[in-house]
Amino acid sequence: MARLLASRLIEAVAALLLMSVLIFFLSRIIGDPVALLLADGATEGDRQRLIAELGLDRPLLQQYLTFIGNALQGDFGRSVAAGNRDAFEMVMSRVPASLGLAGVALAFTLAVGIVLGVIAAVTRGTPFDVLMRLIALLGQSIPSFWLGIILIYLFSVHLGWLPTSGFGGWQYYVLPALTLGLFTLAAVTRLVRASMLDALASDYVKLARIKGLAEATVVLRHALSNSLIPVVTFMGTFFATMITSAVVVETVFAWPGIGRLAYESILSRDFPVIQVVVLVITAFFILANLVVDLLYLAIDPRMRSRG
Amino acid sequence: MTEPLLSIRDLTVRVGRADTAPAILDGVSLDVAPGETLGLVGESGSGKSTLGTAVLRLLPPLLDAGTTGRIVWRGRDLLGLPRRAMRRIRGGEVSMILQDPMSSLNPVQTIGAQLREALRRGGRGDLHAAAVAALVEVNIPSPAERLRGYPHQMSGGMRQRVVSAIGLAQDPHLLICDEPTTALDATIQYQFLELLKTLRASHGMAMLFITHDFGVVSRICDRVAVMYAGRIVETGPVREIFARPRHPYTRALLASVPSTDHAPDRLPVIEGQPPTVGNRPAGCPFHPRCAHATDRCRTVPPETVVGPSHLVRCWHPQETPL
Amino acid sequence: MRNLSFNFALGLLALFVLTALVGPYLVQHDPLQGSLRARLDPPAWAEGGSADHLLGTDRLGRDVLSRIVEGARLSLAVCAVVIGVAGTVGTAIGTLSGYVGGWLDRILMRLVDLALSLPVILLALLLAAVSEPSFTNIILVISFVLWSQYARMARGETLRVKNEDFVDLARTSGLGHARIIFRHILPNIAPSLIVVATLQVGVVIILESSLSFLGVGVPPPNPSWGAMVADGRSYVVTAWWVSLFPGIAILLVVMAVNIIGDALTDRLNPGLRRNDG
Repeated sequence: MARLLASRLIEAVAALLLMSVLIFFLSRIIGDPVALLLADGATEGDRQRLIAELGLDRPLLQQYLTFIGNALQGDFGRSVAAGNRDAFEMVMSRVPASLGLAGVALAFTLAVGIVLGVIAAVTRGTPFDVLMRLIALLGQSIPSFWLGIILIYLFSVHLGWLPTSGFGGWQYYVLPALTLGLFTLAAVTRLVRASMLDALASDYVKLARIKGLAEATVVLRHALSNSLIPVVTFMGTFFATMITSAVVVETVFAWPGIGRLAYESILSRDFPVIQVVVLVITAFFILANLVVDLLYLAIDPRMRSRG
Repeated sequence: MTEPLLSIRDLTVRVGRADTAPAILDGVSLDVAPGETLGLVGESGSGKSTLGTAVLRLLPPLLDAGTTGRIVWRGRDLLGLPRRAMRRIRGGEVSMILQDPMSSLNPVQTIGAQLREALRRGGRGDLHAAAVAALVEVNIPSPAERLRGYPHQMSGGMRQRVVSAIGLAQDPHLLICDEPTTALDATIQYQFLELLKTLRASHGMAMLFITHDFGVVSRICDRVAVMYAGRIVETGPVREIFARPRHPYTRALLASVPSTDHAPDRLPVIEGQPPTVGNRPAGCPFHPRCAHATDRCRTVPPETVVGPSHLVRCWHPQETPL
Repeated sequence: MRNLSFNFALGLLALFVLTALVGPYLVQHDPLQGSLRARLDPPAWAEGGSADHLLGTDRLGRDVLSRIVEGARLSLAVCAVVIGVAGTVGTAIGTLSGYVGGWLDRILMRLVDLALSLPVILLALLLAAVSEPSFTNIILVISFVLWSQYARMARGETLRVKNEDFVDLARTSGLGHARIIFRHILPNIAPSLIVVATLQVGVVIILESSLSFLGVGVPPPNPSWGAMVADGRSYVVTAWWVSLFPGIAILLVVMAVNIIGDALTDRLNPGLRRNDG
């Protein structure tokens, strides 16, 4: 088990390094940061000065090593667009809002998705089951940016129940979390339904029934505990999907998280900030997958005795 | 004759409620007396497992809805029983061991949790002590440790013994064994049968032993019922059936068992495949594969008494001993 | 039930393709040309609407219906080209990886794993940011994020097919590697790749419209559905139709593709989701 963890950690670090290489070279080779940074009407002198200032006249490898060296000390340079603020700090100050939103969305998604999936499996073939599958299909097909706008129109503008956008009390979480979670909710529902159907047809569930256990005990204690394993294995993907869609959803709801920061920094070509944002999000991605591996070990005894 | 414990009359299981739906079981009747072990023998697809599961009312909803006839358990028809009452019978009065020990234990729960769950319903006081005792009874070494372990840490034979401990936890009057030895190695099979015999004696219970193997029948059963394509074609005491099998299908099955004393080459192996559900021929279902079939076999043969408690459903019961 | 929804989905998809191909010749208005007198006109059935603009007009007075029809063409074009590019590259890499095996396979598959583990939208945004928005760029960006799925599928399928008898036979009869791949392997792995492609149509449409919504996709004034939704965002209170209809168009096409993709997956791997019926 320790070996498994160690190899996962090495993989994670490798992925992060590769991503840093990707970001670094993309922004240096495809993009021309200098051209993007220079004001209109800048002279060739201005250009040379900026190149020297950014260290862009040195060999690429050296530039990259400097970049990594600084990055390890938490120094990613300063924002170009937002008044020379420290890029790393700028990004980290946005992390809590994003984690809060993703956390709420994930909790809501899992809770509702598991319940709906179980009910759909138990009521298989009934109109409720059909309705659930229709909703799941819809949830996997709606573009989140559009869903956000529709929800704002319905619940904020039309009904006036919830704030249109911004950051604050729990009311501010409802619509963005719903928008962020719907796709995953649909996925969880489908996954739980399918694995519940497998479990309910299994021999161990039959044996549980042979013992004379109440149906609720059979479904919840025996079938559900097994059906949650696939959900756990997909949690990393779910969380990743959420972080990714956060870019769109945070933009629609003016949520002060890293997703919106990513969007804004990319629009303003604020490369120091872009680098940090992408690295931080990738780090979350990788961290989420690691946590899922640990959870998986905890929930499935068959995994524990391996490796 | 004593009052039977279980008395099945005209049990039919169709795939769905409609009368025209294909039948998996077609008018099966049988009795199990207290303390008796009845073997139910047939090829896969003959409906024998469906029969065992039907007694516990654990068929999938579609099949449960298509179940007609009577399953009388100690004077009560289980088919008319409310769900709650049926649940009290499960485990407590009638229990079951399934075929595949690798899949019949919950992989994410400890052996102890799964065993205690059954013991608790049996109203045992000290659950831990009872669980240890239950494992001791099925010859599992270091039971206290095993209780904390998970199914995947045990061998198939050991798991099957845990499954029987769970099955016996509530001291049932009848244990349905659905091919419990099929998935085990030959030597383990023998051990497990001996264990079942010991348990049967100590619990004083009856058994409905489902198998495709006449060799197993000869070891553990008192009487035997031979099933073919959803029907019982022959029943009788094990000795009688082995000595004077009357139905051509029974004879063919017996002839293909190397462990019995009959020479395997006396009768040809049965030609063709058993019919699938929904494609069963009219009349005697065996006639398309039967060497003795005549036109008459296209109508359903009546049940005929051919010996002491020996019944056969055949127009041409064979006389010669095997 | 399943058949009904499948036929419904096929119908929707056919409608989408047909609209994309011939629709632009049938609409009365120029999708790019607005009329200042007809700004934010409501749809025909709403108060103040006219039959002239069935689904209303946007803030520049452009006909929403015409723009949706033109947007269908754009979406279809993006889908076709992306799937062509990503599919070709991914299949080539995956097939090669599976066929050759060894260290090449290990390296390529690590690359695929990495590509699959990257945050898709972020990568697309990043690529869009370092290059100027253009049709070519959006194609490259989306292809860059999607090729890995073909590679993984193509590799797995190649490994499965590689050891079949007919491939051995071809090998022993002296056929060259290229011919074996083109004649024997590709035709056999094609069905699975087609399923991946079908499922990706939805992904491509959502990605393209998301990027266009964020302003880094197809550059204006081209009527990308995502950009149209973004356009109407500020008017959602007074002119809901500007955002609503393009969004419905996206939803319907993606839903149709998802239904078809699920059905195809079922048909090709009956064991995979046998309980979902």
